[in-house]
Amino acid sequence: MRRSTWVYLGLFLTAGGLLAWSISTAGPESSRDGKRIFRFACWGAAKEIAELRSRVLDPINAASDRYFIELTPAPDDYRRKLTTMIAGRSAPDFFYLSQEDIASFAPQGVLLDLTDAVEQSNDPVLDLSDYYPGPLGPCRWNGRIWALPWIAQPVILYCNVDLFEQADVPLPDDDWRWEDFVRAGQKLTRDTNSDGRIDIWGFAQNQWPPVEIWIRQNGARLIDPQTHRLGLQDRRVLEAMNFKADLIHKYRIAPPLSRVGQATNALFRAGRCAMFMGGASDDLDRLEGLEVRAFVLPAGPDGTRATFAWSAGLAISASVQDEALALEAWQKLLAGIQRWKIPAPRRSLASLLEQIEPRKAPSADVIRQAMESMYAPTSLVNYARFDNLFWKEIEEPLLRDPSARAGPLAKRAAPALREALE
Amino acid sequence: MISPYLATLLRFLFLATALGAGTVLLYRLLRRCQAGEDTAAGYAFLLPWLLGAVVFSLVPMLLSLGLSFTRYNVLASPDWIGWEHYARILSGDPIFLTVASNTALFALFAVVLGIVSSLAAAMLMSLDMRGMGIFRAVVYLPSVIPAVSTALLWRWIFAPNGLVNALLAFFNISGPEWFDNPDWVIPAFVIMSLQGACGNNMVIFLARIRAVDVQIHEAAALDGAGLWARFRHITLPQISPVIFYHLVTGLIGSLMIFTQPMFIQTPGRSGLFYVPYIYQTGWEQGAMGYACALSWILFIALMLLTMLLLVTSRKWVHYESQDALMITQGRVLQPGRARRSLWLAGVVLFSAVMLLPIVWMVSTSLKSQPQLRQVLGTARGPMEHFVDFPLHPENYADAWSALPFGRFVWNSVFIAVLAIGGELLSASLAAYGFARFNLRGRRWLFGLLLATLMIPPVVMMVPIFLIWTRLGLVGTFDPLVLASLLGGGGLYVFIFHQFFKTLPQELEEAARIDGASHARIFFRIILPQSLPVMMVVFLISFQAHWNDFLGPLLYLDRQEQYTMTLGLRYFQANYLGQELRWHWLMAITTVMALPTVVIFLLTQRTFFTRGRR
Repeated sequence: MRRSTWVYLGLFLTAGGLLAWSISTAGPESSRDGKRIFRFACWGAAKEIAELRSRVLDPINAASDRYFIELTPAPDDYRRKLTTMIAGRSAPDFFYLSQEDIASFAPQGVLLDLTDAVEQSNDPVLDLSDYYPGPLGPCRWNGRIWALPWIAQPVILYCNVDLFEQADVPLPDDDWRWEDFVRAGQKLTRDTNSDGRIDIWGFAQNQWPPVEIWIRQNGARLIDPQTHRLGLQDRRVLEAMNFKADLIHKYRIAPPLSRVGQATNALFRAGRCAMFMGGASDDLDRLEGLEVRAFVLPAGPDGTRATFAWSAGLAISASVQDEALALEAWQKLLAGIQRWKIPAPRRSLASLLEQIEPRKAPSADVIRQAMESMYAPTSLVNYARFDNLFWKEIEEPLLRDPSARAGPLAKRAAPALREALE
Repeated sequence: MISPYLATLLRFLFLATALGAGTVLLYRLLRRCQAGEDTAAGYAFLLPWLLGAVVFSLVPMLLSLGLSFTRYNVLASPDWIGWEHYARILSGDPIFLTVASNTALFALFAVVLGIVSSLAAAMLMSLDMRGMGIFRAVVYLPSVIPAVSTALLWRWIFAPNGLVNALLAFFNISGPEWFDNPDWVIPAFVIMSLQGACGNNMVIFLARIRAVDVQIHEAAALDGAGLWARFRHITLPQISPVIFYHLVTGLIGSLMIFTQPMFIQTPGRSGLFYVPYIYQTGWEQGAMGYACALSWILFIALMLLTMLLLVTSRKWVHYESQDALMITQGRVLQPGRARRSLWLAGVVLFSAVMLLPIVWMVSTSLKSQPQLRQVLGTARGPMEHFVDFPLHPENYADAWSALPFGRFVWNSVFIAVLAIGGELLSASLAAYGFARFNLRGRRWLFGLLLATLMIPPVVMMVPIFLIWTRLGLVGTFDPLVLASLLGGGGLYVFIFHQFFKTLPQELEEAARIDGASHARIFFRIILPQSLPVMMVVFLISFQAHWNDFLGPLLYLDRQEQYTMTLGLRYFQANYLGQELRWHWLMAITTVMALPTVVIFLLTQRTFFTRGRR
């Protein structure tokens, strides 16, 4: 063999060996300064992540000499990152899970079963009786607990006070029902410069707020929580769906979808829409230049109250190491988040809402009132598929086409929806 | 503890050294085993790419093929179900038919119009005159804007009373509702795609047009050939390899359109395309097995179409190396004075059209939050808010200080520099191997090269992520840079290949007779002649890494490792109670576009003239 071949062989083996050694020392640490590291995956805007770090994680990490919680924030596309991490066998130890996802993740064996830990603990953060039943529901699957909620955000009605005064419409009260809402909306919807085009709308909607709000207020359920039977043959369900569409086509208090686009609350923020249904922790009640007040949603025709709650859980990976220590850290983390993020899903903390977030004080009573009637969507393994089909096959055509009615659309879409439920 | 940057840099150097030495060893081993010169040298040049193609393309592709016969939801183990998915797709999935026809229609128009418009732009911009560099930069600019910002801009531009309809109204034309009218959704996406593709495609066309022999044009003109006849019979044949490249990559790119439709809602499924449907099915609805089957149907369709193009290309693509080209040194035929004015008017008009969305982007970056609310709340982009006074340049400082963007820039630069370096080296080596050596199995390997471009990346993410997890390198910069040394994907190899095929071989043959080694010929003769294509690949690769979102999202875990694009997404995502900060998003997008444009302005002279002889 030529001498230079030996040189190349030596170079190849040396570089290859160094590469292999270097790779073996790379990768995430499992401990630092004698403390076990737990990785915590979450979503959030920049400010939110900074607050989470300073108000929740830093105190927890400073107080513990046995573990350290390290943040893995996803600026966007959180679900794909989390799913890939789990599929790639590098799941974070703790992670946020949207309420719709808990029932999808739990059957796959990727979440730690928390039932025993919760039942055996005396820690108030694990006292299930303190939790509102709505957001707690999606955390259960097959009779076991797979996560606990860290937030429960009911939908409330934000009203632009100036627009109500200009149209001489009294602000909502506790007796408001659908017909009052429509009547007010019709008065609030105005062409202010007489050019034949509406300038101020009474209300704005697209896929948001969820149609199930109207269905529940009408005393029905889209999906039976026990049997998972589809309620599309129920007259009250169809009535509620038609009512949502009528807000655009019949009562004309909400603009067509092409005017609303994707930014559902943009019209409200711009002062061109008098009422908007938004999450309790949205900043719509403190918009610069607008006087906005919050109210509970109008009740159904027979006085039934219901509001959608957006909620999310904090789960532990089934592959977590040192389970006992992980549970201890998870409890601290959950308690810390619940005392930072509003509205917390526990009754004992709901009373402290103004202390936790003083800027929400004017709306605090309304939020607490709404929390008493909030519901969470029925837990489904295929929730995303069902939701997509429901929107594309029924709700969107109903909201876009003035001549469409819920009955025929529901009849046509029912087989595909039933398949998604199975 | 060793810095994460230094650790990645060292591993990059170790891998580069091992591959370099391995290349020489493979050549000598094959020669010792009585392999022919072409086969030994060819495989040695292909080695880095081949390793990458097998590990990061072929294995994940085969895994995804296997998964297409299973029920698999990503989180749990797959269950074998045989041909069930394929049977369902081909017989009973109505959404499949809708998305397939949407995508085919889009691809047809996007590819044809894309080639025509970018060729027209390149012809216009090929003129030698003072300030032409600025016009070229203007046309190039839209292609460097991150997809998320592009989608947002075009949503506003195509709003019912947005920019396009306002311009149409100027001519008394009532514009359609574009993204809100099912009949106009595909045309809107096609127009949107033209603006993005035009810049990159124009650069590649321009590099080739500038090399077309002026003397042939002059001789033909003397013989009485008109402008069209000279374009058809002289220019077109000489740029045919580039047209072929754009046809193949344009077809693949448009059939795999993904990011923009993900950010633009359209009525029903009128704007649902194939790859977004695969993503929706696999990632959002947890039916990854079905998504893999959909991907393989797309793969087969793409393979058939590409083979058709390859077969027909023999009749119209001319690869003959023309030594005369070397004499031109970038000189192009200049029109007469009257035509020059007309030409210039065309340049200005074309640039103005391309510039409009950019002006809108900058104007948005200078709006306050209340001004922006009026834009969004009135009807998503009305003309009366095109420029709002007072301007708010402080948005730039506010956006920059909202997150550690200084660190993000450093991370992006670190990743881009290493990855581009690796890609330029390994892709050019592989392309040379394909273009010059008649090695055994070349056709199959070239087929593999094209095949790696044809499977949607969304179904290969998990297998590739698993490989990096097994290596223990998730959470480091390595997954974003090391693969670049292994060819960095087939696209760059394909670009280099199309260029090398047009280079004259006489010099190499002379050097071989003088006893020069293949490596010496490649580094001393081929690469110096390849500066134009090196710069084209550099620019495309820089854009790809600078604007990459998915790679950093999946492989980086800590905020201090994040890149500019990840930082940008903090302003785009819709989180609890937070108002979207479009003005900050556009401010950072503008800042992100600057480096690419500066590089383009500084280097365009290099790639619009031929390299050293």
